[in-house]
Amino acid sequence: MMYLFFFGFLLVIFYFFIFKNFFSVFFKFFFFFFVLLSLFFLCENFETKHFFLSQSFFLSNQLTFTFDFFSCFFLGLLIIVGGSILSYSIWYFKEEIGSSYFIMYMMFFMTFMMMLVSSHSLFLMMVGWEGVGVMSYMLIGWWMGRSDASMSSLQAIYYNRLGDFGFIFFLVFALYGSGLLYIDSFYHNYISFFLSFFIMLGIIAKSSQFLFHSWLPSAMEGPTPVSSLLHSSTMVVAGVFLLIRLLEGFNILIMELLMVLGGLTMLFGAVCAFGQNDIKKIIAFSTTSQLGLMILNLSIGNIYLTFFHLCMHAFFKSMLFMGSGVFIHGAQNNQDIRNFGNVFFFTKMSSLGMFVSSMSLMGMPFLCGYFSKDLILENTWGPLLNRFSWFLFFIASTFTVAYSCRMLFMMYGGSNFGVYKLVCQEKFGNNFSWFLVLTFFSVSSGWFFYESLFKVIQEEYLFFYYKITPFLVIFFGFSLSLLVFLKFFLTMKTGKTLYYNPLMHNMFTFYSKVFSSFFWFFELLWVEVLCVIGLQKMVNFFGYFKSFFDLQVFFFMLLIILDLCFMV
Amino acid sequence: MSMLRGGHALMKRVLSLSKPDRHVSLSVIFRRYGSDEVPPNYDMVHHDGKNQVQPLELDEPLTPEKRAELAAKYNLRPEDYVPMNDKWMTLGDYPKLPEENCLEKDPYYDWDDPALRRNWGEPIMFDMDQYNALTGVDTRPQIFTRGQMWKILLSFVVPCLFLFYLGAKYPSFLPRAPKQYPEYYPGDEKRESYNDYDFFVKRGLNAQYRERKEVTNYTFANSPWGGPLP
Repeated sequence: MMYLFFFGFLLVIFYFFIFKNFFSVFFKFFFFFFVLLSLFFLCENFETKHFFLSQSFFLSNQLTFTFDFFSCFFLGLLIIVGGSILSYSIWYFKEEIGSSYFIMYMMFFMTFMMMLVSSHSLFLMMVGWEGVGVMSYMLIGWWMGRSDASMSSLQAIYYNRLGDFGFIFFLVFALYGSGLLYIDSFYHNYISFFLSFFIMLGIIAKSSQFLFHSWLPSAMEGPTPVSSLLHSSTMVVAGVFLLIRLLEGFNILIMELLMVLGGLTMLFGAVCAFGQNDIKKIIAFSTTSQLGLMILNLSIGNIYLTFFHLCMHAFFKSMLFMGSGVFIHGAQNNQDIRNFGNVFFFTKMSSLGMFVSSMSLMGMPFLCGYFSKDLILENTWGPLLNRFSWFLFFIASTFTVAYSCRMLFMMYGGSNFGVYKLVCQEKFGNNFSWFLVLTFFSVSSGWFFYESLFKVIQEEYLFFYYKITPFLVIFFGFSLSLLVFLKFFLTMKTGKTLYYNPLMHNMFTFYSKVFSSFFWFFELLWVEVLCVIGLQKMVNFFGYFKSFFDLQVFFFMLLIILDLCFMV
Repeated sequence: MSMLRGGHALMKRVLSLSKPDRHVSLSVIFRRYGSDEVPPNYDMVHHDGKNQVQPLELDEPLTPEKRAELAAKYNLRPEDYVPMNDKWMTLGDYPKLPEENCLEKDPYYDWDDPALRRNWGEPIMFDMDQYNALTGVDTRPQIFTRGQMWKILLSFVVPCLFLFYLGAKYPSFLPRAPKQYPEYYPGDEKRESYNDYDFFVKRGLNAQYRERKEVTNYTFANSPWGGPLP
């Protein structure tokens, strides 16, 4: 069963060499097939399984794979998120010449990532580690004629190479210390310091921690699907994943150093994101900040909790990137949020997805990000912990909320900003199935996986004033963003037109009168419900929808709200 | 045979499903032009004698006539000409041009050579790598100078490290008792040497690890909250 993953991807790559054009029918078939397989994996028992690949050369008896809890869960996540991004990239690159090669590169990347995640041997993990770095280089520099993109891809290679240097020294020390290259062949002795130190170099370079972070914002020169898959969900978390696997043999001094670096990264990323005007750079710095949070969490010792946050982060961050790609297409490849405005009028589904993902990132209750973030926050109160690291976490979370709100205000805001009007991307004929998958997971996966798998994490019993800290974070972050936009709110022109303008009458303004009558209908007594006037108002409400698409959007919003109610 | 033709027709229909609707032909990208006719020996350059780079003596002053002569040799104005006067690389009278990367030059100007951002006849600086964005050092001016950047970084990082030290000295914690582990804890099963590691033995089947060990971390006897004696 396990081999079907690799076999299937090989088949798809084989199809590329036979057929010149990539057609989505076959891809959709494989995508759903692998989604089902991944669900099957989640139900299996999580034991380490050893597979021998080949016979007689150095390390031949050590090339093993392991399909334990982390591997299985991450493989399912990779397939769901990667499949969504690939179907998104088919739409994104409709007018691009080499789109089939792009999808081939992405498949290669996913193969290397699977190898990295599921390998029990450090040698195979090295193959995957290097492979994702190389594919990152090729994908960031996709538009190679652009000098900025070529420079950025080289910059990514330089920083990843520093990490590879640390990884190689780690392998050398592992071989010296134990004679074996397995992920679980370490114990606490005099060598563990050097092992921990050199793998720390690999981790901080790959996962863009404080002093090795500058390649990640530059990597936004690549196409949006690359940023969505590599630089938010999978490649940059390779370092965090390795640390999750190796934490039990780690040296305590290096863990303290990682706590310092993680905390600084968190704060630095959040503060930088607050001042950016390029939408992709905001999300890149946001990724840096969240990676710092994961490293900080691991340095405390919360392994499963960090893994939970890693997976939830993958869902909503990739959704953020893909929504930003839709806006970039609509603004004719302009990425400055100062030129976005009234996006809800032009892109109802994508802006909704951005909204939900941002709320998830902020830690809005009962979305997927809330379950991981709140648990992290609660678990920092109990154990003996550096007091300053808690302050850093609080301040960085506040800035997270602040830059998310700023981004949303700039996009949903009215006519104060905005030279361009977005070209509508959500037409009949464009495939937006990725949106449904990721929005569903962004909303419900937190509760689902918490109840099913992650509830065994230790619970903390806190006082009231400790328990409301996430809400204070949201409040202070929102007010911080309001400080910047006070002038905007005082001079807001949305909804205050002097004359009827059909372009300005979007759903919020035009249908607001309709929404008020909708709620008035529900406030009636049961006797008045039977009146004809109430029924007439209800019919009039549904009659205002000019197209089936708007009606679908309305029901979709209703579904999400009901979904939230059921979770509570 | 008709099945083969039908199969070919079906494949063509299937392949045409996801063809993008191009309103412009792709041949627009691959325009072919004839090559320019270059006069003979146009690409060949032959410098000899004084046209080559000549060494300069440090003691020798640069008179205005000599300056004008050397500037004309390198197609520069006399007021712009500064010699390298470097004996180590024998670059005596080669001009010292500003060491700026090609990225500093205007990208929207109609350069004769837009790749190198250089006009025909412009003197070339010694550091040829600076004409390429990939091989050259980016000399574009930043908001802060290097010294300012170092100061800003250190003024942020050093207090942060001091605060981390203070945070370790005064940690945060909630009052609680130490954890009472169950009798069988998986951490007791940790391997202590590599000689015992057997590739084919699964954990849990070894009887050695099934022994139940009693663990007591604390008793209630000495605690200020009181409690029963053991």
